[in-house]
Amino acid sequence: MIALVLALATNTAHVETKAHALKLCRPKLERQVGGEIQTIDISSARSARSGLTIRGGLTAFLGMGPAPAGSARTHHLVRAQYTFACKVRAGRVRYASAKPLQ
Amino acid sequence: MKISTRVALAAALWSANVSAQMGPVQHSGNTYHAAVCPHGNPHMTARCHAHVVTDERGNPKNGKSEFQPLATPAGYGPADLRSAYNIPSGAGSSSYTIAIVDAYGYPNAESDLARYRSQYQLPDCTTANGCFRKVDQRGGTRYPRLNTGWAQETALDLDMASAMCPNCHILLVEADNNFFSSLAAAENTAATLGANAISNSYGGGESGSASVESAYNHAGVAVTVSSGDSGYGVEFPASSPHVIAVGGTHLTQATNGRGWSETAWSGAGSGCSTVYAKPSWQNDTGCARRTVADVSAVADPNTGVAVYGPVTSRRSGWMVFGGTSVAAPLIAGVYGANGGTANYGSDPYGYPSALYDVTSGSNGSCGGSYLCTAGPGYDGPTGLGTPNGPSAF
Repeated sequence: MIALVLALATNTAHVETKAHALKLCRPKLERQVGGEIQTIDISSARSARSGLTIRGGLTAFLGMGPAPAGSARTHHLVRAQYTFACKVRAGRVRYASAKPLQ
Repeated sequence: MKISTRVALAAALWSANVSAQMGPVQHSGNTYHAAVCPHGNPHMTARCHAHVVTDERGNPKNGKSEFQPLATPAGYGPADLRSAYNIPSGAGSSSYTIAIVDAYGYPNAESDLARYRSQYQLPDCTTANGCFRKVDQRGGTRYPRLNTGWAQETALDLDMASAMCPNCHILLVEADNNFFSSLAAAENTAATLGANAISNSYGGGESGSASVESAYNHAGVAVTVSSGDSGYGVEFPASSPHVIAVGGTHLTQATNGRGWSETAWSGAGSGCSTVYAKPSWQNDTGCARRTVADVSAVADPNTGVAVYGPVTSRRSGWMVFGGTSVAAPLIAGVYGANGGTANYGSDPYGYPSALYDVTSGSNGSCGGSYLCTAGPGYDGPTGLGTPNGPSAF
C-alpha cells in the first residue's frame, strides 16, 4: 500500500514537472515557429542530471503580424505541424527546437 | 584540433561575423529578415539591397522552409464547400468576373491555380482560354515583386473563388505593396476592368482610412471584405458601409438535415466602427455606426480548407488554411453563383431565410451582447448567417 502511494506520488510529481516544462517551453516554441500553438502533445520525457527533455508534436497557426498604420495585413492562417524538443533545467529553458513535420 | 572541429569553428565565427554586420531584424508576412548591408553606401557606389532570411533573433536560417507542404490535399475541397453552402456544382457563368485584390506579386498564380482546379476537376481557367487575367494596380503588366505571405493569401483567394464559382472568370489585381493607397488603386482598377465582385482578404486600423474609403464604393459590384482574425474588434475596409463584411465560422459535418453544422469562430472580427455611418439596411441597435459583419462562412483553421500555393518563394505545395480570408472569396463566389447585380451589402438583409443562421459561439468579451456572441438572428461574428444557396446574394 505504501509502495502504491509512493508510486502514485512520484508519477504525479513527474506529470507536474512535464506540465511545468511545457509551460516554460511553449513561448520559446511559438517564437521558433512564428505562430500561435494550438495543440501540443508530449510523446516522451526524459529526466537526467542535465535537465528534463520533452519531445512531441505541435500544431500551430501561422499568420501575419500587425501592419503599420496606413497598411494592411492578410487575414489568413496556415495550419502547420511540427515536431519539437525542449530541455528545461532549474526553471529555465536550455534548448528548444521545432522542426516541420515531414 | 580535428579538421572537422576547425571547420565548424570557422563556420561559427563566419556566421557570428555575418550576424554582427547585419541590420536590425524586420518582420514581413511570416518571415523574419535583416538587411545584409545596413550601413548605407559610400558616395557614388551602388547600394546593396539584399536581405537574408533569419530567425526572430536575426540569426541566418539554413534555407529550410518554416513548414512543410502536405503530400496530398487536406482540409475542405470545393465539393465540401458547395455542399455545406448548398451551391449547385454548375453555378455561375463566364459572363461574371470575380476580381481578387491583393498586395505584391505572385508569379506562379496561374500555374498554382491550375494545379488546384485540376485536382478537383474544375474547368480550366487560364490566360489562354480567357478565364484568367492578371494585372498590376494600374491595369498593366508591371507586376510587383513576390512576397510569399501575400502570395499565399492570393492563392487562397483564387482557390476559394474557384471552388464556389467554377465557371466564373477571375481577374487578379496585384497592388504594388500593402499600403492602403496601393490597395485602393488596385480596387479601382478591378472595378474599371469590369469586375462584378471584388474579394478583399486583408485589413488594418480604421484610423486615417477615410481618404481611401471611396475606392471600395462601386455601385452594382459586390465588394467582399474579411472581418479579421484577431477576434472581437473592427478593421478597415470591412467597416466600410459600401462592402459586404464577411465573418467566420467553425464548420463541421453533422448528421442533421443539412449535413453540416456551424458555430461562430473565435477569431472572427466583429463590432462597431468608430468612423463609418450605419448603412440604411442595418437595423441592429448595439452600434450607432456601421456594424461588422454582414454574413459569414467557414474560417476556423481547425476546420480549414485545402489550398495549393507557395510554401516558400521557390516551392509550391498543398496547405491547410483558415482565417476570414477563406470566407471573403467564398462569399464573392456565392455572388458569382447568383450572377445578379449587387446592391452594396443590402441583398442578404432582404432574404435572411435564405441563409443558415449561426446561433452559438463567441469571438471575445463584450458583455455577452450580440456584437461578440452568436445567437438567433443577426450577430456580429457571423452577421445574418452563412449561404443556403445563392439566392440571398
